[in-house]
Amino acid sequence: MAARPPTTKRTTTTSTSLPAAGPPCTIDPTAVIADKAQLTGSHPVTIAEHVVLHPYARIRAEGGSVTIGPYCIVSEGAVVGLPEGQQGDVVLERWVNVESGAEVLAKQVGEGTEVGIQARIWEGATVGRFCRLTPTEVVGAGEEVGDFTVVFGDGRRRVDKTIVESEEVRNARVKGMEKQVEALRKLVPDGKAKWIS
Amino acid sequence: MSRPAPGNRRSTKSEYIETDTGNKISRKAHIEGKPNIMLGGRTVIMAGVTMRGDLQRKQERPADGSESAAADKVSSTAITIGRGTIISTNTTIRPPMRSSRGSGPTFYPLRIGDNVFVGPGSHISALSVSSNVHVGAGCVLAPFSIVKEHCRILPGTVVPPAMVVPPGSVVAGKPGRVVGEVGEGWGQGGGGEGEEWVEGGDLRALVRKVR
Repeated sequence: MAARPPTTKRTTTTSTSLPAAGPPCTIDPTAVIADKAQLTGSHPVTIAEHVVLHPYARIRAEGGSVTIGPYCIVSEGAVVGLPEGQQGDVVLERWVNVESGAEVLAKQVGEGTEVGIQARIWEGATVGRFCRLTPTEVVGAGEEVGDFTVVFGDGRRRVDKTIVESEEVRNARVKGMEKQVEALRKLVPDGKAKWIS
Repeated sequence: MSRPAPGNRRSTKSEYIETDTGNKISRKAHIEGKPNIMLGGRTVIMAGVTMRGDLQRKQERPADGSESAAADKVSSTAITIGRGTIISTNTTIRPPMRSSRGSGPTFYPLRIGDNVFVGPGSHISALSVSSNVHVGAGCVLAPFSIVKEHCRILPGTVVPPAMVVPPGSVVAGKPGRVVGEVGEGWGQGGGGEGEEWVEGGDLRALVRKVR
């Protein structure tokens, strides 16, 4: 077998050769921003305490500011924020879990909400507290999803009565989220330094 | 033998890096935690695939003896993929996470068998996907689902969390349900030289075509 060309001169295409000038950021020191997470655009980005941004997660502050509340998790391939050409701010409250491949362009996502794998929330929509979007579900532009709603099965919705009635269940979900953040802290190396100027 | 000129070498750079065991990995794949990923050989990882090998099981006990240290080493493999498996473009492979009693949430190792085809844009967080499974495009295998041998997951299916798909099932829908069984002789053939590949069969012919 022919010898491989030496690897020393190979330039990797995966390394994040981002321009030094990212969006103006306010990042809490307790947040974990993976080295390969991206923050783009020119509008302000606020990242609160105990947030975890996985590698290849993208915060897109191109159409307006993005605020991410405490104990939020944004997974790989997920995008939060509006693209160029659309205007509006995006706010994620506390304990929001944005799963991998999801896209959040919503005006506001309430606390304790889980945005499932590859789910989409289009611009101007608002999602209430403790909602669940199951994988691949879509919330259309400007739509409103009330508190404790579960969106499943190609747009069907129902209210999760268990979580409405029981504060214990809500607390369990919040606690689970906080524990997840603690576990991820040990696994995802932090690289937020380059975003703080 | 003289080395080819730098310009020449650049032009011969192909999209895939081929390992000694015949794995073909796209240069455009996003692979995290490479030491925790096992590829069985003749496996294709296409462009835009994200693999989260860094999300491994947390090592609980300190490595006090050599035996437990070895056990820790085994358990740290986060993603295992069998022979002749094809992972198509823009698929995400991420080990599932769950809270176990007593300790905090941990990730569980994810296993994919031999001759599994995963369609483009899918998401795999299953606990295990057995051999000869065909997953269509845009599928989501939610955390802790288990897919047994010779299954067909039709395009756009969302397999719900912790669902166990019995061998030989056809699964479709959101949420996914077993809608039928694969016919007699499904996935037969495809292994020989010059043969066309078949769904659920030996994918070697398809792997050979990838370059």
